[in-house]
Amino acid sequence: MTTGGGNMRETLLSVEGVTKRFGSTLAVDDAAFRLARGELIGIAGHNGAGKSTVLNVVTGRLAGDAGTVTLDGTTRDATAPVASADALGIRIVFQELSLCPALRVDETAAVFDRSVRGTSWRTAAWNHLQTVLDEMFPGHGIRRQQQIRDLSIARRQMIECAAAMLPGEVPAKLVILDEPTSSLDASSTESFYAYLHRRAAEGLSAIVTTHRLHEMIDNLSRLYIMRDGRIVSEEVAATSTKESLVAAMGVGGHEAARERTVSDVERPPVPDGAPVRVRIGDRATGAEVELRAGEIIGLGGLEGHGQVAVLEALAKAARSRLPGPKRTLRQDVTVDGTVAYVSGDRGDRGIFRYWDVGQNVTIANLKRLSTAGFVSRGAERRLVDGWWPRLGIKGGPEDPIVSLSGGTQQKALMARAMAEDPDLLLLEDPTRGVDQSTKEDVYALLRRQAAEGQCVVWYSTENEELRHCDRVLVFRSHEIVAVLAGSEATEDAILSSSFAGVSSSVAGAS
Amino acid sequence: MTQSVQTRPGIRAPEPRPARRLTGGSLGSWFLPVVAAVIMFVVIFAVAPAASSYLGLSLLLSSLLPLVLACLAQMFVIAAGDVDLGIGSFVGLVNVTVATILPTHTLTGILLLVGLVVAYALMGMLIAVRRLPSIIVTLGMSFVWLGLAILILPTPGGTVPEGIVSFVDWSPPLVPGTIVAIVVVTVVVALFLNRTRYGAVLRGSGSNPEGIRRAGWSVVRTKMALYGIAGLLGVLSGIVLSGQAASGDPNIATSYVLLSIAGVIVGGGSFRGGDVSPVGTVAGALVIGLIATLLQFLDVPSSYQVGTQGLVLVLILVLRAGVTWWRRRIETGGLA
Repeated sequence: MTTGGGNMRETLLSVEGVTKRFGSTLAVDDAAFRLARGELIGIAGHNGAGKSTVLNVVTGRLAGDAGTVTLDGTTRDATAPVASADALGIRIVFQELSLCPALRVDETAAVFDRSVRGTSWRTAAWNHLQTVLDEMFPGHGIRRQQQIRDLSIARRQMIECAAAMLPGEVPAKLVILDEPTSSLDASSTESFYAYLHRRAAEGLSAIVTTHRLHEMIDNLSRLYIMRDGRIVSEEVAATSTKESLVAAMGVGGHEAARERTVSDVERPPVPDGAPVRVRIGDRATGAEVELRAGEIIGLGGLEGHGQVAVLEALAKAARSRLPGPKRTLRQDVTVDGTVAYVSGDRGDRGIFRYWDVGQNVTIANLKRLSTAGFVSRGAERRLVDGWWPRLGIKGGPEDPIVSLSGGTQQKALMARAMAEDPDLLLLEDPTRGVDQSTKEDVYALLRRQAAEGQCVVWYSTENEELRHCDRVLVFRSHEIVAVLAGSEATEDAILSSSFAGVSSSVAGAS
Repeated sequence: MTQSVQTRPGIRAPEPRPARRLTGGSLGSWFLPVVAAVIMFVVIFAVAPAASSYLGLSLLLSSLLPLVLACLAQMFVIAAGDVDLGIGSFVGLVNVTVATILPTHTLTGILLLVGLVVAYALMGMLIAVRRLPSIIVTLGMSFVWLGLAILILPTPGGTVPEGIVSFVDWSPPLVPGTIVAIVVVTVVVALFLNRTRYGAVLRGSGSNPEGIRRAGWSVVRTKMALYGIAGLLGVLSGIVLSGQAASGDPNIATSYVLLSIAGVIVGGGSFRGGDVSPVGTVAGALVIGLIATLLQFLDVPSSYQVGTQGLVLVLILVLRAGVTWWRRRIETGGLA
């Protein structure tokens, strides 16, 4: 399954002594690594460890200060940028989604696929893309005339991953994947790596960076660990564990301390008398789930099976002036109390790009912070100061929000919602593309809010992190098929509930 | 079909398929403005049957052709995610050039008109390279265009070459020349923007420039192309307008700035960039032009006309928001 140690095989890429400075910061310090043809490797490290920078120098998007990059026998000086990585046979999948919302799927394919020409360019490009999509994500359900804007984040990411594998003018030798699976659920992720392995067997190489460490361990052959701009070690994936990687990444002590606080300070169980905040009733079966104040509830299952619809219905139910439940495809939901929502698409629906961090936190609370329509500067400042230490953000509240990394922006957005002091906090995949230590911060924030009596409802595409919940509702085809206690909510348990009914219904149908 | 376990990757959420397709996604954003334009024509024909004759249609539409072209010019800038506040005085400058320089120094006049198109493309380059806000640049340039026009022709006057006047008056048998011109321009622009690959890249560059850049296209070049095409259509608009006016006036088209923006938006376009419809824009331009005519036919006092025109535009936009909402509702499976 794994592509094995690459030392006996032909070297495709060899990076020597790459250094890159931004002003006074040494972003990459004398980095060297190599990659064999047909090998899948990973580069692990915290945000700011230099992963993206070193990869940008390798692809030639960024000029390095020193070093050489040898690709397929051709050595080039890393200090010269390259006009088109495509022409070198390097394809890149970026973490931040880079599709155009206004275009159709087939037009999007044509934008990436330089090989199509002539009057039937859309059909040709779509055929190429569809071939890859069908192999990479069977049953993806993407149709050619759909607009990108109307697709879920997961489907957009599928298109980006597939577009990198299009034939193009120069066949791809090396694919660089930056958080390729951040919005994908477990089964799509699995089929994505299966596809990569098939392509690797044909000679394609790939470099993956992701904060989902278990993905690297399970799917790649070797991992380079970066810390403070340097490559500090090289690990064999098969013999690594998540803990060993975290330790190598250099925040071992920090991380372990955090883990201890989690296990040592167990949250008290939710008292029986806690007020019911949410009722989710299944219209067909009549089964009802009650969510109480102080609980953290996870919504699990495969992507797109109705979790977001429930979150949105909850938000609507709380904000609606009309009495009565709100309906999703299968459920009736009622909410008692106020609500705040953290969207999963922070670029599109979350941040105010031109404002500073403090303003981004207080915007949802201006009503409470103002008298007679005028915002009180002092009250605004007190609110920010009250939240600042909990967030653990480097720098000050006056920094522009876009100067923060994606994960840190997400924390600020969560603070915005939490500062509203809602009875019900709704989160749509808040840790998408966020590194491990920021994730831990997020979990701690959620526990703290729950301890203060908020009811947290949390949809995640990462089954692994749902163990932080008190209970997990597993969705399949818009139905809640299982309610697992937090301790039972292992990845396997969630996956088996997600699929358990499917096989029987398939059998029933035939 | 007895095997019970499917492979995991094979299972995914069922497509959220619209319950009915009647009002669903199969209709483009051009649909509503086209319906509005057709209603306008029907009402006008009912009020004034003579308008449906060859001559009536010619008179009705010929005054709209320059506005249609200006709206299409604006559409390319809005497709870039920008707004052009200079199109009105730009058309005025073209008109003045045609009425003063072209009759005496034909070659200079033609070179000047070509130079104006290039100037528009360069303006796009400036906006893309320096990342300037288009509103400021085009507003500033509008004073430059106007100033140049006043420099060339301080008071209205001049004579448009006979060839241009008779070309604009072209009356083929059966169908008025204006209709032929509108159809041809619409089809050419729509085919280019919607059915060519570079058209898709241009729309994409307005929608998400970073994405287009990463896919290996030059965003500066796409911006230049969009502005250059806008300049070309602006020049065409000015030439046609000159042919109808037969003389030059720097302020002849100042109302086009807001009318053209309204035309694009009524025509189903959006300021998000990349989201425009050529067919819808032409229909939007016709609606805007025809409202004024219709109000005259209906003997609405002229002091009420401008206000009523605005109300009709708002009504169309409200309808559009309603259609969008209805479409969403159907596609999400009837979520209340």
